[in-house]
Amino acid sequence: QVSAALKEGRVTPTELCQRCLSLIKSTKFLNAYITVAEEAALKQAEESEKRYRGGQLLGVLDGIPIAVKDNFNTAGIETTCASNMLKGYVPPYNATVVQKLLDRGAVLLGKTNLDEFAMGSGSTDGVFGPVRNPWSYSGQYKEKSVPKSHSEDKESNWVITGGSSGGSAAAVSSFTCFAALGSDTGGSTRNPAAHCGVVGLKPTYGLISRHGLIPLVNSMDVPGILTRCVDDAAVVLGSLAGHDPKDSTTIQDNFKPFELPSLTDVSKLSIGIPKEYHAPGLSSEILALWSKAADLFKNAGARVIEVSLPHTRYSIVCYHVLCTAEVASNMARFDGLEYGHRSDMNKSTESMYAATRREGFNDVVRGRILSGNYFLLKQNYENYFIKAQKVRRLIANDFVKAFESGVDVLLTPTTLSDAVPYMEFIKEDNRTRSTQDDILTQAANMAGLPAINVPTALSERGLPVGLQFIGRSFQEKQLLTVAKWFEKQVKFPVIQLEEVKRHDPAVFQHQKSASFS
Amino acid sequence: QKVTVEMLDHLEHLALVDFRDSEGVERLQKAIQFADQLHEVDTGGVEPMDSVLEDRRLYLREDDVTEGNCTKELLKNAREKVEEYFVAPPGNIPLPKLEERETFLQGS
Repeated sequence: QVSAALKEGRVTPTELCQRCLSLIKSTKFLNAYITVAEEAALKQAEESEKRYRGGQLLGVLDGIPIAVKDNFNTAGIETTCASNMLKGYVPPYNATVVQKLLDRGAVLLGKTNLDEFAMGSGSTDGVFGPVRNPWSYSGQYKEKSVPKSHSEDKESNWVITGGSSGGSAAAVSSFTCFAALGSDTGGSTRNPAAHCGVVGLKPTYGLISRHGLIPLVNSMDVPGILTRCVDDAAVVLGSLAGHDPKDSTTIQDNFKPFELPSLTDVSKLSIGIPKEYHAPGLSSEILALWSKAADLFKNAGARVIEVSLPHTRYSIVCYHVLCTAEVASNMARFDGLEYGHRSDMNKSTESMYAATRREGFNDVVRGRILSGNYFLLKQNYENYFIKAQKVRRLIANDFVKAFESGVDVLLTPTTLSDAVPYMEFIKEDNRTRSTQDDILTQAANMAGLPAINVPTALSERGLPVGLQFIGRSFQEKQLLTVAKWFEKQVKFPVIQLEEVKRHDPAVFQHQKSASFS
Repeated sequence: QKVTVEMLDHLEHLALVDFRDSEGVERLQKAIQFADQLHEVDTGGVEPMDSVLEDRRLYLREDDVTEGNCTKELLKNAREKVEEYFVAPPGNIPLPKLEERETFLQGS
């Protein structure tokens, strides 16, 4: 819709960019952005405007403001991964996905906040502080929250965004950009998408290039897409997918960008409900919503059947071992010699490395490196690492069997509950939280399958709850088509944020979801 | 079984990262305990899976130089350099042994 507005001249790219930048300033308390590239963005907007005037657009994304998670390399813009290890690091190149967006005229507003090195499920463990969920300040949340005492101010009540792409999710949710890039290794795009009420797409592993995405787990990482509606996600996907010679784990099949049909008849659809996703700790609210969604499909004529993915509960354990092992390896590059933080310790190479890493990494990162090294020890390799790889195959096979039984798409909850208050979240440590929160999203990464969070409804506390669809490998079109149909049925409400209303009655209000397609 | 101090020291040497405090050691203990659940799964006859794309041929491009010559940009990010070299402190000096180092593990 905003793309149409740009084309018709109702708003210009520079106006749009300025409004977003100004909204970013008024929503600074969300701490969604680490770096705002104001000058560069305005310059990009001006160039886009020239193209609009000359009628030579680079594509539907021309002039659209976007944000990128701070673990993607961006040339000339500081890239920190929310870690002391990379504070001040300015990459000499753009990640492929960033380059693709820029080549299509998108306006890069800035880099968003995350958990340090994308390790976490709350976006609370980065060196720039936690990200606040915009819904904490929404009319919907405020009217449902009962102040516990007179002295308690609204400041302490704010809820987390989920993670680790919390900054990106918050940026999209608070209307400061029209799309954002996240990353997804265990659910890091879908989890904050669910908590912030936005669409979070995890593409099939191998579809989108990871070149320039600072790696966590090479065999599971994928760039994630966060938008306010499913159609927008499809547009961004269309711009990003495809083989990249710089990333040999991208498949070589030809990718054709697609437009999503508006499904009216779902009678040929078969939806699978994996019973193991009724995980311990799943809130009764979400369980009810999941059930309601299944009925929605049933009543519309689709075939809804229960399926079983028996190894689901081992997915988190498996992830824990494989992730820490790959992290131990991937983090070895941070030694202070070529980039990043370097300690003043000068006695020997090893002691300099050790001091640099001691100073640069937080507890979570160090903890995972040490655990990973433990599992990779010669005496443990077979029992832990290889064992986990075998369990991984069993998990991937579970999905294959489920899809072979005739199911097109799986429907599951995305999170166990709505967003918890920050003060509550930090009572448990990062690993415990990740273990609990990733349980519904992790298996899709294990099997490399595409998955998407679609915001479904508001909880009793006035916070977003989303549901997840998991599709077959490389069948994003089918997955997104189903997601789009579902999105249309549920009509998720727009966030009532003072700052947004104040800024932009014109551009933002008359559009239900302020999408760009 | 608890992880021995020798093992913790060994890990600190391998990882070049420190446990820092008892919380760090606890963290590892809990991690191992958690990972032990894997042994409940019967993986008889199952091959380990390295990648979900194992059925496809990995893309290998031609061994031709297509880009480079960016020495200046690459050196920009390094703190210590001399001409076109990254400068490291002397190598071949192993980390001091447990007794000689200042580490949390000393007291355990």
